[in-house]
Amino acid sequence: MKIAVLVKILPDDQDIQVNGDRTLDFSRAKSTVSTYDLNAIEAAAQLAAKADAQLVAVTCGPKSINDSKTRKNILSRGVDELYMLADDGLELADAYQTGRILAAMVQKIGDVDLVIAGDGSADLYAQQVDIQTAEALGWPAINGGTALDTDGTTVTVTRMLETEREVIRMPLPAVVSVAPEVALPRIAGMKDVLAAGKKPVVEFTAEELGGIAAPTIETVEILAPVPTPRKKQIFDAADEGAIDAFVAALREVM
Amino acid sequence: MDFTKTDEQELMLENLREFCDRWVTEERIQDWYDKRRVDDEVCKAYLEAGFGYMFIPEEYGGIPSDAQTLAMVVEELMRTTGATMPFMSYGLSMYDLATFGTPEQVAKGMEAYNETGQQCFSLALSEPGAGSDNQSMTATVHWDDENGTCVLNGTKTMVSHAETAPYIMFIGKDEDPSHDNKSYSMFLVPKDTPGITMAPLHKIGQTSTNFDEVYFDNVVVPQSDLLGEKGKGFKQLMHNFEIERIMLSAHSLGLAQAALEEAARYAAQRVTFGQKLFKHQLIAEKLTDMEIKCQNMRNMLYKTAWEFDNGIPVRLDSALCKRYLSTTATEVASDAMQIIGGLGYTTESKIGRIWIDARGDSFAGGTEEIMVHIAGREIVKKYASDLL
Amino acid sequence: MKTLVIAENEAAARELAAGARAYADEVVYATFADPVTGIADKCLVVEVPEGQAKEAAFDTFVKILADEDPQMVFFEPTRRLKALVGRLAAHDGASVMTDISAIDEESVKTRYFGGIAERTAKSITPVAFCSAGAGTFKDAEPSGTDVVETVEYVAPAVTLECVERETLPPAEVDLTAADKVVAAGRGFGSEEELEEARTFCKAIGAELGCTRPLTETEDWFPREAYIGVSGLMLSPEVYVGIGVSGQMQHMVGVDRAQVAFAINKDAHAPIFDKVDYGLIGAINDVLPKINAKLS
Repeated sequence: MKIAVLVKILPDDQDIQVNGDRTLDFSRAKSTVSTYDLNAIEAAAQLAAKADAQLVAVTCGPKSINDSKTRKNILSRGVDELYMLADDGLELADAYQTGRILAAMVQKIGDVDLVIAGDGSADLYAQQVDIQTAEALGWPAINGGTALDTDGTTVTVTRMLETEREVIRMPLPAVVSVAPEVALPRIAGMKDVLAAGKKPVVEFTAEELGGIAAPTIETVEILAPVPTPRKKQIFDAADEGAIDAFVAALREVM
Repeated sequence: MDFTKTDEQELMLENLREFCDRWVTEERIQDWYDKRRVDDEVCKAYLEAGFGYMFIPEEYGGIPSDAQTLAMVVEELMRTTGATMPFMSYGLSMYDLATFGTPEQVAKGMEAYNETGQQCFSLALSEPGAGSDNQSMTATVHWDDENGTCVLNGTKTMVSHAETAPYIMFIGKDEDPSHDNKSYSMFLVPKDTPGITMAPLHKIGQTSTNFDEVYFDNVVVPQSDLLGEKGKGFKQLMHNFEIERIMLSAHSLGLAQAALEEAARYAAQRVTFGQKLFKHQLIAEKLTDMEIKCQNMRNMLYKTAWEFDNGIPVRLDSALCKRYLSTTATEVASDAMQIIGGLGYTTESKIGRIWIDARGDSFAGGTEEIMVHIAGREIVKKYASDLL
Repeated sequence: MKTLVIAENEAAARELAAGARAYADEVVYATFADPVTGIADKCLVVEVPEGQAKEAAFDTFVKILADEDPQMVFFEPTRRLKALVGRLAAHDGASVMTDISAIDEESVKTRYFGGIAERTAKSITPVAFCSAGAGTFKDAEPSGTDVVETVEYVAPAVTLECVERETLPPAEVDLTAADKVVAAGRGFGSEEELEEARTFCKAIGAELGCTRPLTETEDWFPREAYIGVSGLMLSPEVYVGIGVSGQMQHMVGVDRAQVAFAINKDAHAPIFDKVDYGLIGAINDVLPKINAKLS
C-alpha cells in the first residue's frame, strides 16, 4: 500500500514583517512546513506504520520551497520519499492550479492508494486543495477527519462537523483531509533528522506534469489591515483610583 | 573552522525548542526545583527525541555525535528554559559507562536509562576530606577473594542524582586508605544494596538536581560489579573529563545567553527618567559588555569543541573554557540582574535563578581553581617545554 | 445576474440570500432539508438517501449548476459544503474564495496568513464561488417567494457510505453569538484561577474564550473556545483580554470589537496598544477587586 501526504511549504509567519505601506516583507521569513500539514504528516505516518504502507510526501510551489532544511524536516517525520515541483509559475497559485498539479504528481508517482491532506494552509486557509486534488484525480474525498483507518480496500474516516460526528467509509483510492486534532506532530528524533538527508527527493518539472493550469483567481493586492483606532487609556493598579476608573469604563458598556 | 550550523543541527535545535515548549513550562521548572527532581516522563521525552542518546555508542542504541552538536544542544536547552535541566548530562554518563564497563554492565545501565529516562548512575567520588584533592580519599575496597566479593566502606559527598539514579558508581582505594595509595577501583552498585544510606545536601542553586551525602557501611558487592580494571579506577574516570567540561561550559553559556536576552527585552521596554532603559548609557554599556562576553564564550566553546571533534588535544583548552565560561556567565547573569533592578532580585523574575545556577558552575565538574592548576602546567608545556 | 445560495442552516440561508440580493436580480437557494421560504426566488431541496454522506449529492449539484447557470455561488462555510461546493468549483474549472470578509462589485477580501494581511482577489472564471461566514451581510434583509422544488437525486458513481452519524451535544458556549467576550490568556497560572474570570464574565454578562496555548498546551478549554488565527473570528460589542499579551495571532480574532479592554501585569504588553481601556495589574490581585466592585 502507498500513502501520499500533501504538504505546503511557505514562509514562516512568525518572521513576516509589515512595511510602512502595509505591504508584507517576507525577506526575513524562512521556508517552513505549513502548520496543520505537520498534523497531516503525523496522521499519515501513524496510519502508514499501522498498515505497513509506504509513505510519500508531495509538495509544490514556487522555487523558494526547494530548501534543503525543509526537505529534511519533512523526511524526518516518518516519510519515506519526497516528491516536489518547485516552479515560480506556482507563486500565488490558486486551489484549482495546485489541485491539478498535485493530482498530476500523484498519478506520476503511481500506485497511490490514499492521499492525506491537512486542514488548511497557513497563508490562505481556503481548505480547498484536498477537494480540488480529489476532483482532478476523480477520487472520492472526505474532509475534517479526526481518526482514520484502512483495511487496504476501503478507508474509514471519523469526522467532526459543526454539530455532528460522522463515520464515513469509502473505497480506495481516495482523498482524506484531516483536522489538526487528528494527531499531535511528533518531535522528530535525532536519528530521524540524521537519516532524512539520505532519503530520496524526486523533483518534477512542470512540463513532465502537463504544465500549470491557467489561474482561476486573480490576486489584486495583499495589504495589512488598517488597525482599529483605540483610545488606549491605560490605568496602573498601583495608582489610587485606577481600578475604579477601569470599572467605570466597564460599566459604560454593560 | 566553520561554525555555520548544518541543516541537521538547525532542525535538532528547532525540535529541541519544540520539546521545551511542550514539556518545560515555568510552573514545572519551579516544581522541579522545589522537589529536587525532574519528572520521569519529561526525562523520557528528552531521551525519546534522541537528545539523551548523544555520544552513546550505536551498538547500545546511541547516536554517534560530536562535541559541537552536544555543545549547541546543551546551550540551547539552557537558553530556552533559563534553568538547569539535569538531563543534559545523562547521555554523557552512559558514555562514561560505555567507555569502561563490560557489555553486560552497559546493557544493564541502558535498560535502567530507557526505563526511567533518569541518569542510570550517580557518581560517588568526592568525600568530606577529599574534593578537588581526590588523592586524600579514604573510602576503601576490601577484596574478599574467598567469597568472590568486595566490601565497600566510606563516606561520599556532593553526589548528584543520588536519589533518582538506580545505580551508584563508587570509587575507593584498594585495601589501604593511606594518602599515597594510588590503587583505585570502581564499582557499579545498585542504590538499594544493604549498607548504603544517604542524606540530602541542600544546594542554593541548580536544585532541579538532587544532591546527597552517601554512606557506605560494609557494603558487600560481587567482584563482577567491578567497572573496568582493578587498581586503575581514577585514570579511567579522567578519560571523559574533557567532554564533560565542554558540556558544562555549554550549560554556563546557555544560562548567560538567557540572562542577556532577558535583560535586553527588559531594557527595550522599561522606561525610567523619561526614556527607555537601553538609551541610558550605563545600561547600554552593560549590554554591550554582556554581548561581547557571550560572543567570546561561544567562540571559545565552539573552537574547543571543534578541536575535540578533530582529534586535537584539548587538555588546555577545555580547562580554559571551563574556567572562563563558568566565571564569565556569572558576571553576565549578575549584570542582567542589575539591569532588571530590584525586580531582578525577587522571585518574580527568573534572573535570580539563572544567576545562582551560573554561580554553581564554578564548582561543578572541577572548580575554577583546579582549571588553573591544569592550565598552568599545560601553558608552560606549550611555550617552554625545552626548559622543563 | 443570478446567484445560487447553498446553505445547510436557516440563519446562514437568510443572511446569504439577503447578501446575494444586493448583487443579483435572481436568487436561487438550495439546501438538503427543511427549506426556509420567503428568502429567494426559488428554493431547491436535495434529498440524500439515508446511509450516505451528504457529499454524495455532488452529481445532483452538478446538474443544478448546469440547469440554473448562475454567475455566482454563495455558500455557508460548513465543512460539508466546503467539500461539496469546492468539488463543484473544481468540476467547473474554478476555485472557491473561502470565508470572504467583504465583497463589492469587483472583488472580495479574504484573510491572508490568518489576518496578518487581507488579500483582495477576484474570480476570473465564468462562475464565481464564495463562502461567507456569519456577519458578512449582517444588515441585509432577504426577500423572496415560497416556491420549493425537490430536485431529482442523481446517484454518484462512488458511494460515500455513512456508517455512523450522531448529533453532538450543543457547545457549552457560543462565542460567535455573544455580545461580550472575555478572553483568558497565558497570564492565568492555573486552571483554578479561571474561576475568578468566570465570576467576572457573570458580572458583565460575557462568554469566556481563550488564547491558543490554553486549549493546546494546557487543555483548559475546548478547541471551540480558542479565539484567533484558525480559531474563532469574532466581532463582539465588548472584548476584555485578561492575561493576554496581545499577539497578532489572537488579536485578529477580536480586532473588530467595538470597545476593547485589557488587564495585564506587564505594562509593556502589546495588548495595551490595541485596546480602549487597559489596567496594569496582576490577575490575582486586581480581578477579585474588580469583581467585588461589580457585584
